[in-house]
Amino acid sequence: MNEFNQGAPLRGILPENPLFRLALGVVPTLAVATTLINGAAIGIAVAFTLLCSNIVIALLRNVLPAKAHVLCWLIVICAFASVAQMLLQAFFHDPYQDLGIYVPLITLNCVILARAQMAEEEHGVFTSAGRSLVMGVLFALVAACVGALRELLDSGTLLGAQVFGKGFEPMLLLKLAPGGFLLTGILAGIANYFMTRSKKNDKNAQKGGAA
Amino acid sequence: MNGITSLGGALLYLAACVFTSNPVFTRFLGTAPYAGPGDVGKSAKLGLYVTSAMTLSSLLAWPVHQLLAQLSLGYLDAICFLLLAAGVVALLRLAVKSISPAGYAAMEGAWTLILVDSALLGVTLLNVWAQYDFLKSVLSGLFGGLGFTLAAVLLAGVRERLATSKIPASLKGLPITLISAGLISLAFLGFMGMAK
Repeated sequence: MNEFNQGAPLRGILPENPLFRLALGVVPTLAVATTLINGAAIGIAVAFTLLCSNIVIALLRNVLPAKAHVLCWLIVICAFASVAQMLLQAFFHDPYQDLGIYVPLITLNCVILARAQMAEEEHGVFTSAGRSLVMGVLFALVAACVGALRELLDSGTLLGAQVFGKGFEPMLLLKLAPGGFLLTGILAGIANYFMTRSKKNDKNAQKGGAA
Repeated sequence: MNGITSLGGALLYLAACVFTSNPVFTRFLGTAPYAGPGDVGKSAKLGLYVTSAMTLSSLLAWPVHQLLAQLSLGYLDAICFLLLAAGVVALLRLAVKSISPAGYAAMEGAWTLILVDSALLGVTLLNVWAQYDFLKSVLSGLFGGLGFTLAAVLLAGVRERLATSKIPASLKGLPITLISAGLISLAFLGFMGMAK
């Protein structure tokens, strides 16, 4: 738990940003984060699945057979993704319709799989739960931001309310698939740029300290 | 249209799966094309494996879904399809290993990639979501696999060119791959409305 006091959760925002660092986690987010609501819904579904599956995997880590542990993780994760889908269906029917198959597909989100790997290696359920909660919340934030950005540029609205004036030309492209790819690519590039810059600063600071 | 009644319909559906609703470029399914083996030849082979796996699991998923629906256990669809996909991938792996050991050795790492690739599970889930009948489900697996192969080969070609070109440091790796995918996807928009 020590890392929590040393600002580990904050570090997650850029250098360990789960969305951009673990490249393959982007796929479901790209697909359905077309509005702020949908982005937040898929993000929260991911966070829920991540937290619950991590607790179970951390509890089971001494029981799972070594040869088939990845398959066991997948089953646990898939079970919670199905639960997330049922909760959406029961309480938030509109996002449920929009998200469709991408909620059960959370199972194959590499962020969650990577977290499962870590849960197996770490000691203690509480450590795993805390870390996965932080990771999930960050993922949800990023997904909501991507959704908000796409909604804003695509239709000039946010949560359905008009933001820009009448002169605004909607960029339909961003609602469609290419916009999702391009926007996420550009955002990942920007995140990379700031990350490498902060790393350079760290190195310079260390050099300065040594001299 | 949830079923296919004529040969013409099937051909139209082929065009739809490969071009107008390509699983990778319009449905965002599949991660192997971005992260998979480097060159065009290997990507084509990967596409072949994925196509066979998708066809087989779509074929098997349909009766499984019917059975679960009969027992009103529809919420177990995703888990059952996942186990089914794992079984199909394991079987294909054994088949390739016994048919051509050399080819198997060259692509050993690809199998895990295929299993955790969202395209395989995604197509079976999509068949159920869109309420396709049996024939259309199987064809959706087969044609979706072909669309996936096209995407994997195109992206591998782009990646080969990117490896030797000058790219801004912060765009290297994932960002430039996503941007290239976006541009190809933009080109695919030109097919929009031609087939459904």
